[in-house]
Amino acid sequence: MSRQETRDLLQGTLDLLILRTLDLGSRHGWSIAKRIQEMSQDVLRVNQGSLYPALYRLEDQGWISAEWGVSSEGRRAKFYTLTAAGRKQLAAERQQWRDFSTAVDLVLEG
Amino acid sequence: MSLLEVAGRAMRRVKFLFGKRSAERDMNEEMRIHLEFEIDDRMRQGMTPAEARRTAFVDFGGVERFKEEARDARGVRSLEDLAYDLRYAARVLRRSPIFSLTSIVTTSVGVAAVTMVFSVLNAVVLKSLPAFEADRLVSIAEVWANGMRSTQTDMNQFMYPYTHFLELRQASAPALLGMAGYRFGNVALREANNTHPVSAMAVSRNFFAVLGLRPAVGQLFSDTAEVGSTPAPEVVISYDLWQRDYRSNAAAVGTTLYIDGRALNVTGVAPRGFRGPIIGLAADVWVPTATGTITMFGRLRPNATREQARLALSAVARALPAEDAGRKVVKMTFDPMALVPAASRSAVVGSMGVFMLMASLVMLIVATNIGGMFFARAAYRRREMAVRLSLGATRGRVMRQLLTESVALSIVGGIAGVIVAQLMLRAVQSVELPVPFKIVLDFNVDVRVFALSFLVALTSGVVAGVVPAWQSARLDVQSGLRNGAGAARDKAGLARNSFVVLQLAFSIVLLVTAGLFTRALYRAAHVETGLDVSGVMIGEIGLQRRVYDTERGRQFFARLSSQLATRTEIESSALAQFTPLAFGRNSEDVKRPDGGRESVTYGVADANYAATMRIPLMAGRMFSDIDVQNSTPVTVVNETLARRLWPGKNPIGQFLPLNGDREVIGVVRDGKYRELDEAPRSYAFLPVSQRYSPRLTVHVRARGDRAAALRALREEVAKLDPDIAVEKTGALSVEIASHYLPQRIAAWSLGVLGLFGLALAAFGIYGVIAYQVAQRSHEFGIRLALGARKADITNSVLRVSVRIMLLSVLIGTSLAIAVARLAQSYIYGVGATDATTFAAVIILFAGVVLLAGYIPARRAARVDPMVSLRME
Repeated sequence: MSRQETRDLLQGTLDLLILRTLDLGSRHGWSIAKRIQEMSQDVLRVNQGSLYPALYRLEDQGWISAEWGVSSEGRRAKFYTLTAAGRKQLAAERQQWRDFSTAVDLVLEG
Repeated sequence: MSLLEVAGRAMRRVKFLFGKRSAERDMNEEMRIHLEFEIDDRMRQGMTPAEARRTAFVDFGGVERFKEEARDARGVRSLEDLAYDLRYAARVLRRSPIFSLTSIVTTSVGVAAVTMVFSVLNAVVLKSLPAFEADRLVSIAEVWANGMRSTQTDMNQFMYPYTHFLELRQASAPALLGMAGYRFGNVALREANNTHPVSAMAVSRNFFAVLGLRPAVGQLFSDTAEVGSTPAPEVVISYDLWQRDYRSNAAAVGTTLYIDGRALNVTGVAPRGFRGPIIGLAADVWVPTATGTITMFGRLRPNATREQARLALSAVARALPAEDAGRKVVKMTFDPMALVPAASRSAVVGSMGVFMLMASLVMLIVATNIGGMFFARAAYRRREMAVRLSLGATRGRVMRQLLTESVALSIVGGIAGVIVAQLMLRAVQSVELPVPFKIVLDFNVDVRVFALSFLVALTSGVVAGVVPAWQSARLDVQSGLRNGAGAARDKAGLARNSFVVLQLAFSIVLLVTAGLFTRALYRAAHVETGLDVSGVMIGEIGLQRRVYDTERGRQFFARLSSQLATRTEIESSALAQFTPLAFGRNSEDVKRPDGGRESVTYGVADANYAATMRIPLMAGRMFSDIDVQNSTPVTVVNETLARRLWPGKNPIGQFLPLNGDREVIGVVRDGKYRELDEAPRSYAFLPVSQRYSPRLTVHVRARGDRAAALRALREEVAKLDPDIAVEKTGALSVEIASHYLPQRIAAWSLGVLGLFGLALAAFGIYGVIAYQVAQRSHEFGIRLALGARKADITNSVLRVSVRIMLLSVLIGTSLAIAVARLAQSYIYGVGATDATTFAAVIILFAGVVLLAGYIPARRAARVDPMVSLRME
């Protein structure tokens, strides 16, 4: 079921969600997925199969950086942090999303 | 994206690639941790540990696919794949060492053949003259009234008198920056306790200047006045000689070399790699000359053309006085100067073409054979490929994997081939050729040759791998998984069969050509040469005119002959100008009684020649002590000459107009004078006593130990004059055989390659038939169960081999006829369509092919119906 929802997640939206999640502080992979799920009140479920490729892609683009650390539960995990470039990217994408959703609203309401 | 960002990303990718192992571990670790978080989370929500674990795994899905996608996201996909493919290929190939080794050895043979031919081609045709702005150099020759051309290739006869050269040089000033000349020859270099021949060039003083060369050490000859003056006692040595004899010590300059009895001052060392302006004629020393005859060349002025130079010089040249009317200059030729003189270029390129063709043929056999091997292997690996495809590998991915394997093998094979070629070229280079001068060729595998060989190997790998790989990638997963081998044999089978047919056809071509060469050699070895060469040793002596005038030279040779007669190691000895098969240098036209002109070849020999060489005297007598300088000029002729000039008459007492009238005193049996397969040729011997030659070959018939006889000859020469080197010593039989060295090499190499090709082809056909038998074993089982006889089964399988054989014989023989025509001029006395050779090759071929096909055919009949039916 969750796989179905993930597929519905608009292409490119996942990047925005991840960047937004990390804007609030460093997180490891699983907690990013969990956080998105919580913040969307269980509507958005991020599948692992999409999460990690997206994380590596973002890392490759230099928007986030990764480092091994220890989680609050005392478990070793890889933590992702937003970089300066990532912050800029987030702002840009957020603006794009707003423009996009406003435009879609206009069409739907109009 | 800014430049900095691009650089940053590139850095990250490189770091990722280098830390590949740890990155891969990282990823696995991360996935594992993710699962643990998920399981913990589910347990917190109230699931039992087992349930949490199970559901988490199910939700997580195929780990491998995610990893693939995750790797994709890194953007290092293709490089990573290559590394992975290579590692996988290495593992797979290590597991089938016989397959890998066969494929590597096969490739190396083909690549070695191509590399050898191409390095010779590279050394002979493609290298440019080692000179400054070589394209501005022109080789200058002239055409004489008698139709002869002063060329650079024949050193002894048709060169230009030095005085004429000086006059022409003066006239050339408007068109040429400089004009220089050289002649090639051997000199005797005297060292502490032995005197040995070295290759030398006598050059005009401006020789190096016109070529635009700079010395490695010291000085080259300065261009000072040389008219009429005796040349300064100076010598320039080659870089090789400097390395060898002086260990590259700069103190070589200023030392003294004893050459032909003169003390010469070493002024400098020629630049590295320069041995002279003509390919193969490699000088070790250069001495200045201002006399004699020379070959000319010049450097065009920046704006001048060859045509302008020709016009400027032709008039002057025509006005020059000539020795006789025949040598009057009628026109001049100006050709671009090249390491291979224009006159012999087409012949060289042509013969190289034949060899290149053969080598390419071998390479084709190799590629088709490896292709066949990969086909067989692809069939064998159907299940493996089907599994990979069903696990989500893309078809491109599978194809790339298979190609990586074939290309990796071909590259290893290619490198091995280049090494083999290099070793074989070394061996070939050490062979001394039967020419008046020592030939030195540099066959080293340079970058150009290596690049070509690499390309050839790579191409063969791709060609051999691509079709089987493509077919594997198109595999129908369902059927591939269901029955390991079997199905889809139609197209693959056809492609494999055509591979085998081509391969068989190519090996027929090689075998036929090898057969033709071998037959030609066999004929050559059994030709009646008219003399007995066994136990005869030779050594050549060239006297310096400066030291030995005609009279002293005559005395020297007379004294040497009488000294040799006292040695017990020598049964008898004789002097002659030429060795057999090198006889044909001098010839003159003589009027026949029927009015036609007979071309008479002649050479100088002494009184002992016929006896020492055991040439039967048919009439009259041989020369003797009574034939001296002032007595009646005499000659001994061969039967053909006697028959043609005085048909039906007694030749003894007749006069032969050769250098004045000569009385015929004897007739000897016909021999072979230029080539073993030549038509009867008129030949005349002139006595040494009446026609002096400063260069004679001593023929000694050994009494027992042949090396001792040669040693005796050397000792006697050294006793008479320690400054004389005995050149080209060895057994006469070897010298004669060496005239056929190129044919011998061709016959051997083609024979070996042909047999190799046949062996490969036999394996090929065996593989094809065995494969088909394996595929049809089910069918055979049914047929046997229904009462077919074993012979029927065998025959039906054998029919396939017969069809393949007939088709390949048809293609192979037609190709072979075409190739043999090209090589016709190299196969003496054997027709290009020699029936015996063709028949023998076809019988051998058919036997091998049918045997290779019979073995699996017999196995087909031994199929146990119960077993084969249960198999599926």
